[in-house]
Amino acid sequence: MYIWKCWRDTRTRFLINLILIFIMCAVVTIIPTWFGGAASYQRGKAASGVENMWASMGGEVLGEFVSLVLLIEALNIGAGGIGAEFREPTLGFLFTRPRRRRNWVWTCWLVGAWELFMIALAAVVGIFGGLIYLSGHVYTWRLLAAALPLSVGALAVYTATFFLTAVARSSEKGLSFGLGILMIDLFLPVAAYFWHRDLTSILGFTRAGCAWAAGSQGPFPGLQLTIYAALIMALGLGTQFVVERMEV
Amino acid sequence: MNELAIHTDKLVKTYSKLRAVDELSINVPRGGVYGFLGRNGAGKTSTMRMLLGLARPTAGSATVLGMSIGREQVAILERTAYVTEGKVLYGGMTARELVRFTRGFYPNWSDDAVARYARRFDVPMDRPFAQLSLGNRTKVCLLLALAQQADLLIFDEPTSGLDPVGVDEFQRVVAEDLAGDGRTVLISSHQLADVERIADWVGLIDNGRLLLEARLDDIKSQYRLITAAGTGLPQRKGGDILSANSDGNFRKYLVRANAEAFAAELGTQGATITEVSPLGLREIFLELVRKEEPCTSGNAGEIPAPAFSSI
Repeated sequence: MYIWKCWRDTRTRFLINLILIFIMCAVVTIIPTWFGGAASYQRGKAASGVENMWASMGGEVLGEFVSLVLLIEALNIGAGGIGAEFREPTLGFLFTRPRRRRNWVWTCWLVGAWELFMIALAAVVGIFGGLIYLSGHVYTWRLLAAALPLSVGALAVYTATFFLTAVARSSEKGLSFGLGILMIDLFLPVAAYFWHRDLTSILGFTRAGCAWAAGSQGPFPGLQLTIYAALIMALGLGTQFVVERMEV
Repeated sequence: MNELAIHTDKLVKTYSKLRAVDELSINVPRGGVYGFLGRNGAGKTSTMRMLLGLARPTAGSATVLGMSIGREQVAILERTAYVTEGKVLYGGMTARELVRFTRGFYPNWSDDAVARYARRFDVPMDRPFAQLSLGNRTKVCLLLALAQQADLLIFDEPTSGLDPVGVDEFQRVVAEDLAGDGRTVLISSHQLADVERIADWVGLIDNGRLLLEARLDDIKSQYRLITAAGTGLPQRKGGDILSANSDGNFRKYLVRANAEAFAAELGTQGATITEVSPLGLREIFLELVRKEEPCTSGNAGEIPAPAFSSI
């Protein structure tokens, strides 16, 4: 019922984004070959060339380009879910249906989270397919695991925006606050650098996760993933807390 | 089984400094139509929101269908249909889609009722809700509420935007289908004549306080407006006297019982009784909520006579 409503509201935008990001990622991977950028990979077909191609194309395109696109999408979906109920405003109708309010919160959250995960997966599969096309074989299946850090990073921004939208009772304010939080997260590591502190932004985390998945050197950012997962849960529960006490 | 569908006990709701509902105690009997009346901002919608869990009481308590609000809210909502004042539903959905969305929440949902009431109210089923007129939006809201087959139906301004045919159809549905089926209906409306046609009970509130709660038949048979002229007439309310307002040189008393005895008592105090008349709901409403205007002519500056201690 409500899951159908949430899906109905977002499916068009979601499907367009899904197809766009898949095509974009596949094309972005292949484009360098049109200009000779990946000529060395194709010429040599040496193991090191293929390894470099997967590491650089996989790691960098996913870690930089896709991460950023997903974070923007996360802001958008986070402000849109429960925010739509404030905008119409239909909370009075929704909250007089015989269900606990936590049902609405988590159903709405789940639909957005699923969409974000699918978009992240589409991006990874797009690049994965592009790389298979270029190299002629699968160098590492682990690249598909890049969907995990990409999703977790995006989910952290999504859930923060979702929470802030509920607190502010406005999708516009939620979007603004979410963007503000994202900006702070991006610039905090730069500021921390001057105090000789080592901080990693969400973008840094997804970059590291994608680099690991693409087979380059470096550890899997497991600790950060755990921290972000805990943050997502906390913000989800925070949203539930706010909505359950909300007066309409 | 509790004989009251709704019972509130000194219910209070404050918003910042505003006391929207002020120690309100109402009793809505099961199986009847209760007209919940009051001016704009009297506290009707705030009360209904508290009953439905959309707002938390600042103080006091209430039960709906014998269940405590707040603690048993989901169970209450399963058996209660609500039409909001704003008539806001999902704008992108058609009535058919709204039915599809809503039906799964209610165990007693009736698709036959959907078909029947859609026909009776002439509901446009396939146009997006956002594109409908206010009247048609109201019809969709009523359709969803009626199809729930709820034990209690709470309607906040249920006829807003409806044309006379729609209003008449709604009244028939309430009187024949709902009340006739033993279900309880709470209607908040400014259309006093409409309420008077279908209500069994009325509750009248102003400034969040209950001014009157009575069976409509009792109002018609016993409530009287006594108009008296004279000096030193009592001004105080209390007992059977619900209001005492000045009207030029006259004083009007709204009395809920024993009107003849009270008129006789006024007579012994030197008053000339000019009229003892029965009242409709509209007259009672106006008498009870009317604020006395400052005097601007003849009697300006006159010091009111002291009230009789016996009244």
